[in-house]
Amino acid sequence: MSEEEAYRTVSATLEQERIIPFKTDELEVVRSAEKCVNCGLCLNHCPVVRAVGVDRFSGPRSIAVELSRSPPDFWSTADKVYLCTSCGTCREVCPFNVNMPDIVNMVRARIFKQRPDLVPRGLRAVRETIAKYSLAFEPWEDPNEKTESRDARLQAAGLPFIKDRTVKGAEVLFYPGCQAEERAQEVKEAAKFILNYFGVDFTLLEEMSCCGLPSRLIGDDETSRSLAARLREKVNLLGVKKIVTTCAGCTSNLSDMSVRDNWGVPVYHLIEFLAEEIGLERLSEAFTEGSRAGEVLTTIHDPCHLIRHTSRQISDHVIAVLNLIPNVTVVPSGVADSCCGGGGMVGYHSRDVADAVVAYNLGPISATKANRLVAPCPLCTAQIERNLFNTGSDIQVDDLAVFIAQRLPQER
Amino acid sequence: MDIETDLVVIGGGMAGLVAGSVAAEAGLDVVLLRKGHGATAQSSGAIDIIGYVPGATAYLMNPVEGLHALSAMCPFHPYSALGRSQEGVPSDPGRVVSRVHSSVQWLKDKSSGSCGALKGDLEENIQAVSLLGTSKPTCLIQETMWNDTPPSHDSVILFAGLRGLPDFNPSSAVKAFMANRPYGEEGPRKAVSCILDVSSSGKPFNLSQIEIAQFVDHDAGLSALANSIGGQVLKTGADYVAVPPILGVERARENRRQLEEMTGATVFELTAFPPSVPGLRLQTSLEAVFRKADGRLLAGHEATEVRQAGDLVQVIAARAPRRTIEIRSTAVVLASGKFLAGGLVGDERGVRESLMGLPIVDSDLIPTGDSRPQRLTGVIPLSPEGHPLFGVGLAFDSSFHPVAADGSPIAQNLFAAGSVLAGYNYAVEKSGLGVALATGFAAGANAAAYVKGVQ
Ligand SMILES: Cc1cc2nc3c(=O)[nH]c(=O)nc-3n(C[C@H](O)[C@H](O)[C@H](O)COP(=O)(O)OP(=O)(O)OC[C@H]3O[C@@H](n4cnc5c(N)ncnc54)[C@H](O)[C@@H]3O)c2cc1C
Ligand code: SF4
Ligand code: SF4
Repeated sequence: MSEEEAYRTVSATLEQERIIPFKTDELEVVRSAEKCVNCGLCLNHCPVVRAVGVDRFSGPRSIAVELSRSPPDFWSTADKVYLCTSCGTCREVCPFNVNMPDIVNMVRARIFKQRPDLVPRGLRAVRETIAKYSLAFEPWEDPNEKTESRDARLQAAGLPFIKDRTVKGAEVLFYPGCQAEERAQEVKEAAKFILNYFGVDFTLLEEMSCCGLPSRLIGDDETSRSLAARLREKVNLLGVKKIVTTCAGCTSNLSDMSVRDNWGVPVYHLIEFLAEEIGLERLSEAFTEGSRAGEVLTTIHDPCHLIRHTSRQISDHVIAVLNLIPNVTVVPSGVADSCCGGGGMVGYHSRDVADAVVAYNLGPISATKANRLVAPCPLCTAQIERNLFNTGSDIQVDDLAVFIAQRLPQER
Repeated sequence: MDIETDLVVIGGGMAGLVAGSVAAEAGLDVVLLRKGHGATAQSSGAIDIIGYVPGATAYLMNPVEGLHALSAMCPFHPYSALGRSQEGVPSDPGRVVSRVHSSVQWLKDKSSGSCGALKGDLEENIQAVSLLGTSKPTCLIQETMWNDTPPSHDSVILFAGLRGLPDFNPSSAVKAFMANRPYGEEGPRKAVSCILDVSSSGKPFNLSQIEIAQFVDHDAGLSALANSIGGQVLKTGADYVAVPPILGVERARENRRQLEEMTGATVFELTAFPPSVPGLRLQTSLEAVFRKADGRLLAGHEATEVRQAGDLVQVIAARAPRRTIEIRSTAVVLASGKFLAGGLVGDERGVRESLMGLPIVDSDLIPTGDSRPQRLTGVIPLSPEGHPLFGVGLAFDSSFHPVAADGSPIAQNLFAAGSVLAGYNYAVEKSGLGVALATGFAAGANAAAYVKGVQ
């Protein structure tokens, strides 16, 4: 038997045995699971365990020592692995930084292939939307309605409209992400306004497409990789030098893709871009000139995808920038291991779990006596806003981009 | 340069957080890099100062005596280093005791009122009772484990387990407790056991300590626990109730007070094994002390490189999940822990310090070279001598500079503290968190003095 034939024979039996070989980047993830010493430290921090107990969600230790060790029968873990919000808290406290979020993605990818029937229905619906539109949300049927909704949101936020532009060779690609593109349009507009205000040479995509994170979380690895590849192609065609986004999930996912697939283009969250590239000095001048909004006492929600998947420094940036704004006082909520519960696509199939997770954050948020909460992510903003509203709280929740844009001068 | 600061502390356990807090309180700008949690979070939360002097099988009633003995017997012990005003002179036991005392007092003051608030005195070891009904000598315990008056001859002590919590078997704990008699001959003659029904999920199975503790932090959980304990107290006539450490996370002290009011009995926590809730409370309260001192904690950041120019370390590179940063710092404290936390790694090439490749020695200051970790373990897994492996680490001088083979500091502005240091075997001595506290305290103060000196 030639080597080629032998390879084909083995590959064929793999399929028969329902074994899906690991990709090179997945191997690193598997090795990370092997580092687990079963100490259980992570259990003390997992927000899902805190919310629903180990009986419903057996927790990160169990993922590392049990649920990831069942090839080829990963499907047997389906009632558990979809409840991880991918918050990354366990990875951050683990002495060996066992990479739970990616282990979960790896397991979900195999369930997706072996037993698509076990993928929660809510996730299958999102998958269909993505397959159809390359966006995580169904786009507006009527473009005029989208424009109307955008204008209404702009008006409510008191922000002017900055014309969309697509410019080859621009310095920066502003990538709003699906949520700000289709739903929270005020966030996209606020970011355009901010970039424009500081004279940043930016462009939008000709046609928006998803970064691939939702597909990755659903386990649809193929779609996730092809969406990432598509976006990369667009980025290359535009020839931009930097990508700036307002979404926490896009920040961490694009940063990851950019390194994994050698894009050669760094990715920034808007707040990082402001703090590091525009600089606190220029921001401070602008805020002093702009300060037209009234006094606010605001607290902050730190998105998992920024602080635990990207870098904790981003949360320092948020505080530093907010502290520059006249009339704004920041009070930390002090929530340990915070999580809005909206990550990992959990809310799409187990809303009760997502809401139980965010519930833990609401008490400390209210206890700050703040009248505002800002979050540098439109998804967290929506999830927290809905839950605060349901508890009868009158705290206003703003995406950070909107909050900042509102405090810049409008005429120059 | 992404950050410029006075002091970078590498490691977020007891040693690093204490060093960082002390330096920040002295007015330094401090950035602490923490890759993950280490032994501090894993611990039982009880702070051992010194339980056994090396070679002895009877435990020490008084840590002060232990410190005296150590400074005479073990010149290379980190505690002994505290007793030297300069290199080459013998360790002054009075100085050792006074410096350990200051660090203990500092920690008690700083953590007072927090979920990790401590009780106990340097002059007396406590016999803390464990989930197994056994006990170990330790010096400071959390308030929720402490009894102002220990159970007496006439006391009835009730070991209360929780239905569905597999970590604790109260009836076997009773047997061990009666055989072991940690409160001495004067201790209680009667110990009984029971199972409480308290479940956050409503199900009587598959529970973890953390979820019960978090449940007890809520009113519903607290009253469920109070009712259940109250019923058993009536039934058994117990005046002391020993429970696993589940009295709460943030509200544990307040919960205990209320439980005692509602049940009429003294309710206290036993010490537990990792991952214990008191370990979490200790870690959390230390982080709070550091933040309160205006220290900047960068969790999820692993130091990957320390760059040195001449006799100074200057730049620290660190990696977060998707970012890397560089920090320029006037001084550095290395408090990266031992094998669990990753400060030391051991493999077929021997034991190494993982960040800078600093020289490694054993408890007798002999370089371990390329000896494999196996060579540093004894044949008997559990023996009073323990394993030399746990005594290896960095060689250091009396200012807590890591030193080269010739005894000269690796860098003028590099200090080290905690379990990354050589010269003590915490597992057999019962001195782990105590050494981390005292050396962190000293290294933080030395780093602060250095920075102020050059500014
Ligand atoms: C299971 C267990 C139970 C114990 N129980 C007790 C007890 O009950 N009482 C007691 O007194 N002692 C106990 N000990 C001993 C005691 O916990 C330790 O000796 C003590 O906590 C050491 O503190 P440390 O700060 O030196 O190290 P650690 O607490 O281990 O902290 C080291 C820190 O350094 C970080 N780190 C390492 N490398 C890097 C890097 N490159 N970049 C950034 N950060 C880094 C780690 O993530 C960690 O945060 C126990 C030890 C163990 C292992
Ligand atoms: S994943 Fe990490 S923290 Fe959790 S049990 Fe394993 S080693 Fe411990
Ligand atoms: S990523 Fe978050 S939700 Fe998932 S197991 Fe870890 S701590 Fe729990």
